[in-house]
Amino acid sequence: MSDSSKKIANEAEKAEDLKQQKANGNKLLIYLKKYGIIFALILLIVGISIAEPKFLNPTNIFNVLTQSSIYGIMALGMTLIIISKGIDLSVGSILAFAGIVAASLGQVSTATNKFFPNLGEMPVIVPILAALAIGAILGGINGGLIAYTGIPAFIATLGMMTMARGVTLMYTSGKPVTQLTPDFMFLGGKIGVIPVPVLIYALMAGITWVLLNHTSFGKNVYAIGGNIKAAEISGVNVKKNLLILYAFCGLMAAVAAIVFAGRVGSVHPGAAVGYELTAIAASVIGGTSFDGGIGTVGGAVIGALVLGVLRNGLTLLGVQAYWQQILEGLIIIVAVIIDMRKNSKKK
Amino acid sequence: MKKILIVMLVLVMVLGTFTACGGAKEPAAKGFTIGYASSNLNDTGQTFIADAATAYATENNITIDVQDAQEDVVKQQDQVKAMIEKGVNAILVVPVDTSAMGPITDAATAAKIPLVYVNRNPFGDATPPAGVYYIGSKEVVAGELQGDALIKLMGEKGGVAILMGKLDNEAAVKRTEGNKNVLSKYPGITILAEETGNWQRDQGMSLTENWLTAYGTKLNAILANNDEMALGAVQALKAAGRADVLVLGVDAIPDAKAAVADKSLAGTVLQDLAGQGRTGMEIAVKVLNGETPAQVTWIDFVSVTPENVAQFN
Repeated sequence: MSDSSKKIANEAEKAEDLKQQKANGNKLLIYLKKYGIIFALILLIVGISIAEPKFLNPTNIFNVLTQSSIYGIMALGMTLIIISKGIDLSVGSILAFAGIVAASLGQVSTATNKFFPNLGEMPVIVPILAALAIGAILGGINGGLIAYTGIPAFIATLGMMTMARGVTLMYTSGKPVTQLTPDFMFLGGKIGVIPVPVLIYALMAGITWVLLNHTSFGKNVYAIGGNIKAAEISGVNVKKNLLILYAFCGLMAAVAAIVFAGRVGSVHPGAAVGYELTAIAASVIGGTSFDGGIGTVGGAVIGALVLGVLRNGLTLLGVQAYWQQILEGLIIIVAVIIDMRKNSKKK
Repeated sequence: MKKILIVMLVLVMVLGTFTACGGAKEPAAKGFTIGYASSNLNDTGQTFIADAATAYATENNITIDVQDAQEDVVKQQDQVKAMIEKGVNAILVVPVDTSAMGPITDAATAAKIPLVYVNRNPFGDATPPAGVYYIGSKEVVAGELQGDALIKLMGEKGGVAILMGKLDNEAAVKRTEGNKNVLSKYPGITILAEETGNWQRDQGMSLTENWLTAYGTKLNAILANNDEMALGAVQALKAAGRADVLVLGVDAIPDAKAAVADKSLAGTVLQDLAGQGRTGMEIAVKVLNGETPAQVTWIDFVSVTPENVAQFN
């Protein structure tokens, strides 16, 4: 324990140094300061690789990235929401509904349990667009409820979480939809050695980064999270921005749904239960603060990778299933404690 | 004004959904009314039991009131108590938590309403109290059948990984116990890992990918507590080009039967869920007609292999 506390002290010292060097415009160090959690990730990777060198096999690295991509993509939208001082509990259910509708439109014509028996094989763009539309609409409903009725985000998205799950179950009477077309499965497959889910994840991270850092919408998200009243007074159209924000988060859940369906080749109406919490965990590990106004896309990606590395690493090390959950919980708490220290240093 | 309108609109929508999917459509004129309290209709297996019970009800002009507790034990108690208040003739319950059925058993026996537990056994090895029945299959047998099938295919040595269901579910614990009952008899067999995929295909897939990295060619077989996870394992193995690893599931869902037919899945075990649902209803009707059926009825598991899979379609 003394080692790790020393490390924390070290890190705090470093942060202090960074503060001084910021004026010098040392970009790399500023970057490191911004993503303090990156040290934890590197430490985790080094530790696991020493204990089990197979961790660094290229296939395994791609496995970790692929396995992280589904909740990683959800965490992108979630991070923007948490920056705005909101929360979205409905993304797991939205994933399930968007995914199951996409799957029902993307089955091979010879599927044994064809959902639409008279529907031929659809080009893969049809299920993709259907999923994206569902994600954006359900997310938009969340945003609309929050912006125009004033109910808390927790309540609005809790309601959506339950309703969307119910609709998903009703849609297939509780049964899974399977046997998707090869084109659909390609979305979960590989180009050469590179997994397609990882490419989609990288693309989404890029889009979200541009959106957050280089558009007025991104500035507004930070402003709303920092102080919603001040944002309103300074002329931000809070309602419109909340609507777009939650629609975007729903859209990301739908992208995750497409990756999920492509990777697994089947969507179960009970799929992704609890994934909203994994997405929230990834955001929070990545330094997004529940106080609002603080968080980055890079952090969200690192947070998702920390969880991915941890889950993969614990399995490689043969850690007992019960212990894995305990350790995952501990890591979330420790990451946030470290991160709070960093933020309080800032002030 | 606008707010009130919105509130009213939402109310109308919500009420609309409730009435649209609310319970029984059959006229209650003739025959019995039977309450059916499902643990979770989110669970594919549970829908097979509920569907079979509903089909039996329709055929026999019985009104069935299906309720879904969504894995919430308190909700299930409330639902059963509401059924008793409504005065149903008999109640079928798939327990959310087998160790917490005392209040439901007491309430039904006090109201003298026949109570039939289906699928999950609240009584262990004990006999249920008078007026209470149990229909199900011995989960441990499913695990043993799976283990026997594996030994036949793989021989008496090799590395095995077990994909467990939710760690607090009896089926997950007992099926794994059944696996070990068989595997522990063979010193040449090593259990490399046992981890939970929470019954889900995507999680079974991720775990298998990680096991392939960890154990490489030492991994010869995967026993999954259900077919969804088994199919996830099959997919991961296919992607990794490992046709040599044997995978066995439990449940014999349609997808798994197709996979057994094309030999990508080495086998599965059929828990006759539809048979449980039907038999549960039959027992309830027998009691209502004044007969005295056995208090515990076991429905057999069947091993499904590429050779016999055709007869289960």
